[in-house]
Amino acid sequence: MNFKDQYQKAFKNAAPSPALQQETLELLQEARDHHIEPEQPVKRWKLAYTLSLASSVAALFFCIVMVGIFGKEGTFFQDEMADEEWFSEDSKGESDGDMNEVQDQFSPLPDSDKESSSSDQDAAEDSADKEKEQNTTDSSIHDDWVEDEAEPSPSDPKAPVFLDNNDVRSYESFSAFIQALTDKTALGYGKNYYLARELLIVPSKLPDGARFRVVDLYAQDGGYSYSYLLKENHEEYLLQVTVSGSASKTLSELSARKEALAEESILMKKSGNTRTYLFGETEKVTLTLEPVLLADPIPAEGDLDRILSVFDLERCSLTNPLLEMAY
Amino acid sequence: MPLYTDEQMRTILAAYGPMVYRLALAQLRNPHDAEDVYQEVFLKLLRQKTIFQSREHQKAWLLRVTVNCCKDLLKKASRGDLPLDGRESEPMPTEENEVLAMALDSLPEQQRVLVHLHYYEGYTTKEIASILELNHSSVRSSLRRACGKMKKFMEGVEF
Repeated sequence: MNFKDQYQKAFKNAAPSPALQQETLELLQEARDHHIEPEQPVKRWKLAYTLSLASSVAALFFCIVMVGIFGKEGTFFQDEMADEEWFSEDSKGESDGDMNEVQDQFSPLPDSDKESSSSDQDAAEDSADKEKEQNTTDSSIHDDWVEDEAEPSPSDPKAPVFLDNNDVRSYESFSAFIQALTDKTALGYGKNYYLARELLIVPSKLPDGARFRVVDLYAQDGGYSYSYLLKENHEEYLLQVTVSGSASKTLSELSARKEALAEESILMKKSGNTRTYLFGETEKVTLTLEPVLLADPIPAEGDLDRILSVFDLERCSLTNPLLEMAY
Repeated sequence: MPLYTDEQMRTILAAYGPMVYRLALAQLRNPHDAEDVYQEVFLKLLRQKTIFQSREHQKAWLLRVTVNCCKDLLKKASRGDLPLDGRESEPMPTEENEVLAMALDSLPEQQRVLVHLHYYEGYTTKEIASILELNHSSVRSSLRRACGKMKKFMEGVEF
């Protein structure tokens, strides 16, 4: 048995007891109901803030007074300084050169570097990268740990697409995402990736330019979620699909879930930008329309209704032709 | 302060509770302290003002706060402000893993966190660096050192 298996086995059964969970829930309810205020900042921050404000005002006042007193004599100083050798044109040029050099050190990275740095972040989820990580864990004290990891090639269909935010990974097509899930499964990352692959729900009418964006495939309880980046009427939205449930233990359970998801859905709950559907008897799927940027307003109920009518969600299996399409 | 409904709080506890508890247990090696941290983390979640962009964002926030709460607890204990519940290390949940427990005991607390996030939660070193706001290369080298130490206790085990 390797270390990873041994470690996971050792911690597998460590979980908060039902009594602790209940106690915590009650604690949270009490805190919420009594509107516990956020922790107040420490007083020394107030003091530091006041002091810094006072010193800024004093410095500003000092500058104004100095400009008032010596402003008219400015030319005198300038002429006098021009006579100094170190301030002659030649030496000034050198000085500028030095400044440029210093400035270069702080100038932003060239675009290509920036992109590689961004994709470097995103590439963590990429299966090839993951495979490399897996290899490194297999030989943790090998030199691989300190070597730079390979960048995904831009032409690689599995290469993640960088959007606005480096917390998530995106894929240009469903097939790329499916392949990544398959790779994950093959690497032994648990059945949740397999489940996500088998129980994928896609809109049947995705517009051009729609991208598939993996928000999270959380592996603890068998649930998972993902998002589509959708553009409609020049507005961009994220349609997040969350499938809740517990991990299927057997293939027959998985088949049952697939069958359930193939059944007609019932709208269980409609609230603002969220809809919860029940497929079959137990499969709960929640759709949430979210803004792409955090600062943007949360889409209204009407927006979600419109989006859902346009994109026509349906359960989708690997045989769905949509999965073969690349956008 | 986000006002979570009872249902939302139950969902959050069910989804993330085990992860928080396990990380605290891995770091503190004591179930009673892990329980304290567990409650503290979710109270902080209730009080915080951040709007999470995604589940992943929320998960990363919880992991970071858990690590910080554990650090605070250990700091208070080392200053003598707060007695930790029985400072004897609790054995691993399964008794057959004594060697593993010894190996983990040989690590400083920060390395135990890295080991846990990498080997249990499945995060890459890059992701761990991003979650804990650490330098990527130092995460890699710390994890490498941790594995080197543990190898001495666990001969023949593949890392």
